Amino acid sequence: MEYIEALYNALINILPFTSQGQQAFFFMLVGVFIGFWVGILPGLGGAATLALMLPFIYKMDPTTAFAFLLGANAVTATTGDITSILFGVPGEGTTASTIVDGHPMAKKGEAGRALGAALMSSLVGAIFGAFVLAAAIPIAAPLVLSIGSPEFFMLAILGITFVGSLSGGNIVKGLMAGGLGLMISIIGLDPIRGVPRFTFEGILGQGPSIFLWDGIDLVAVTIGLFAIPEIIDLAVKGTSIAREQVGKLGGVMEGVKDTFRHWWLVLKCSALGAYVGLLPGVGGGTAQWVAYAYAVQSSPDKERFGKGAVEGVLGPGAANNSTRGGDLITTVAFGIPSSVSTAILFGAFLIQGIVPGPDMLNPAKHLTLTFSFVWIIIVANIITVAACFLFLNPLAKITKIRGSLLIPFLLVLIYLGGFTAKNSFGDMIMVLIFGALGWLMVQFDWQRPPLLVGLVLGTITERNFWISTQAYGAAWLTHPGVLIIGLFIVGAIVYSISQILREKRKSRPAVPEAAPEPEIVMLSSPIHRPIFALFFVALFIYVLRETFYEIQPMEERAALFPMVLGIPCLALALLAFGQEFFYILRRTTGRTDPPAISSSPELGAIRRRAVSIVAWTLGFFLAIWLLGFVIAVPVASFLYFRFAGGEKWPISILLSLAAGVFFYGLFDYFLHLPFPEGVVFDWFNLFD
Amino acid sequence: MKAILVAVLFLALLLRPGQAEADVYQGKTVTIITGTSAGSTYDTYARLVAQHLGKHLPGSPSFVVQNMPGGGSMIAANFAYGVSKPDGLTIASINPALYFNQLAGRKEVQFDWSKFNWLGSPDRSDHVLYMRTDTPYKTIHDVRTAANPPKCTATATGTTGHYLPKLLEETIGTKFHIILGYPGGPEMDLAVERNEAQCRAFTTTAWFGGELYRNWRKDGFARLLIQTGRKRDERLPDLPSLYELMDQYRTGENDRRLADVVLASNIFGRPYVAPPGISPDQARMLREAFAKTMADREFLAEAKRRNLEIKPAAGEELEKLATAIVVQPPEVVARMKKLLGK
Repeated sequence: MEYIEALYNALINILPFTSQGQQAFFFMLVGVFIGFWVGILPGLGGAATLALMLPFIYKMDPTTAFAFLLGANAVTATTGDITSILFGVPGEGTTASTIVDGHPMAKKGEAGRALGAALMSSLVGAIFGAFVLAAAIPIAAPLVLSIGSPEFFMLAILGITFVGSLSGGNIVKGLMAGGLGLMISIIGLDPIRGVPRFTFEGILGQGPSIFLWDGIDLVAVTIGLFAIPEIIDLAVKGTSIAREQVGKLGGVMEGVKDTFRHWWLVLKCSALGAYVGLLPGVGGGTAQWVAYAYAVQSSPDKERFGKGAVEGVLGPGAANNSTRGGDLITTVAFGIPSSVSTAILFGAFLIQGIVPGPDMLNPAKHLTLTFSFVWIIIVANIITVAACFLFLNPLAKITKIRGSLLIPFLLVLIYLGGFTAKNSFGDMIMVLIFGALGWLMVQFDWQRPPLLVGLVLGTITERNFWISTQAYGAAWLTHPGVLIIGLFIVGAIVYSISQILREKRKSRPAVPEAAPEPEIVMLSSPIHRPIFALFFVALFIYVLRETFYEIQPMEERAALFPMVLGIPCLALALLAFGQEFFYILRRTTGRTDPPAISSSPELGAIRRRAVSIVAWTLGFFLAIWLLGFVIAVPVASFLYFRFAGGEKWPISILLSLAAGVFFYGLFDYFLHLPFPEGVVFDWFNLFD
Repeated sequence: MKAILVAVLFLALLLRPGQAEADVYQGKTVTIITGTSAGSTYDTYARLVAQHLGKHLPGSPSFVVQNMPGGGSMIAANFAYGVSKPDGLTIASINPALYFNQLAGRKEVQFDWSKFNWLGSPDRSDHVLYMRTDTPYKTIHDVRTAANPPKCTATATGTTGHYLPKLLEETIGTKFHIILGYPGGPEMDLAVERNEAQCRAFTTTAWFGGELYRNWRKDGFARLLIQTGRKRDERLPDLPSLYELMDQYRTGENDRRLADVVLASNIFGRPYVAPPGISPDQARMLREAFAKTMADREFLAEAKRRNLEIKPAAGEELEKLATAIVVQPPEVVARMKKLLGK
């Protein structure tokens, strides 16, 4: 009864029916407004914004303060999906997986539907997460404590088994991409002894090598892997983002209906997100990819994914929102913040003179406030989604704007998104490197999601393996939780294999590889396919060599994972090479149809456009490096509009000025991002 | 008329030095680089300092905090030392134990600890080691004599959680089983909650500041076994200190030096530094402003509200210590490298 009463009072406290509630509601709106933009703009991170908002809460009462902060925090994952879907650039690090299927939908003219699905599933996820928070409050402590390091390790392994189903029909390439992701997670100081692994000190020198100590940033990888290929494709096709009539395939309401058509998937992914949120140290960045993998895994029709399957939007859309609820549980129950955002919220508790911990669950103390968190998450998301729906149809029309007007903005955003990951140039270079990798993977028919799943789970796996072994020896293998999750893993593997076999049998009689219409224009000759596979062979040979000669002598434990991963990865890379080689052989001996596109007269023009956009992408990078962000943004945009886009002078000047002013105003003047000055000014000492 | 002009000129001349001092910071923005990400304790302190430091500088510049995480704040230290312009508009909040890396001769170090302009530190803290109460280790002596060493958590080698138990091993012969690899403090405390491990070494400030530990003290879930200050903390009058125990167990001279070098990081606290090349005037202004901020009533009130302990150390003191600490005999350096697991 006390609980119900607290729950009710908590709701009243944030609704504008009392004067106190009005204040809380008003500041929640302000917070939601801020969060809305933080979500939309890549490069504005949720946590960094919260830190900037913190000083404003001194004069607020607790409910108002949390309405303000949590309101902003709760909606970033919702609005971040919008950018991911429309532009293929992740609005937030936690909304990158929405790109995989959401952006192809936008390209097919289904932007409205994708947005509708993303927002509705986000809302469901947020509400679900909030209810989990409410329901978990009485049992929060045992729930959190039930997951020890061994169980954590097993959960990560379970997540990794999903990689198989993300392979897009080619299990060898899929598994290897997953292995590559795990490998990338190894870069940096090893979690036990701090031995540097693959930091390329000998090649790069000390500065860049320290940058690599902390590993490869997820945001930079996703921007590179997904956004750059899309930008190249947009320029090469020379069209707008949407290739088809917008809205032909149903608008926003269709997406909303999709959410209810796939109701179970949305709920299961919400539950998954809430659970991942509960685990300390992991949040939306991981949950979204595991949810995406789960959405694919549970679909009977995996072929559709990556080409605009709405389930691929619904799953992560729900999961990245429901983590917020789970995330708060450890903070509230133990006074232990489990993520960067909750750490900042934790600071807010202290400012408000509130002790996070058991008091938060005590009806006589702060239970009402705790429940108001639940309502804030729900109400903030309802407001956001409602507001978004008003604009969705016009928003979807953005995909009809011609590409040449969008590309400069997108190029600025990807570099900004990379830079703000750690406020460093290094991540901009990562964006380029992974951009090249992503583009090649698309060209040669490698799936990118397995790589991301590997990357988000790699460190968790390695850490918890070593912690378990140090704490329990081999005895952890017999912990009941470990055995139960182990059964799930075996089940998942058996299920995957049986599915693959069934699909094989099904497709056996079909004509040789009736390739679906390529989502991205193929520029490369098929001859390059085995060469790309050979690149991975060389890469893994290098990895194993390094591991054996460099890491092993320093610390055996640091060498175990690269070794255990490197050997199967090398085998898979060799297999992939074999596959590609025979693919070519079959082609040249004429047993398959000759490639259709190479004979197209358009190819020359396409090649030229491709070279041009790659040059511009590098050019923007160079401009930022030489001139600094603030000057480079208008200058490079102008040059692009005028000379690559062929826009008229007035439009070019107007748009680039607008971009420059907006960029300077928001990021430099208002937010004080530490943009380095252009090196040109150093050379000439212009400002001294 | 002429007289007035002369008087004005004279006055202007008289006021000029002050004016020039104000000019340095008038209308400018000073950046505090923190070597950690938003939301960390270092970042929280830095944002608080940034709110108040400006009003104590001539010209009242505005302050912003910029996060430059990475390499255990080594990236920020390298940046503040050699990359940022020495115009007095960039200062940095860095990890107090970075000099370990300089002593160990790590190539990544691109600064000279003793040449920073030391502005001061808002806080200093000794270390303590907590232990679950339901274990057989009631005192530090029990840990020395135990057949099975207790399990302590740590993130990685070279961090407090690792080097402090190691230092106790070297100096007073305790034995700990250190479990490395936890991502951070929250995960370590949760591990102790679920009895995956039993102990952890960290700062006294954290022990008295964290809400979790307040509950632990209340429920008798964990107790402290040792503190590392030369004097006992006034809040911990009954807890033996490492220095007393070193007397008791007749720790050798080299081991004591090792302890001194390692524990000096406590005195550095959460230090603020300016690049070595800034003008002496600016260095003085910043240092004075820092000291005034530490005594600022509003600053202290807000720190209290945020539960941030303020035990300031002056720039002069840190400067002296920094100069002394980077010169160590090779034996001590060798011992330290071993201690840090390098």
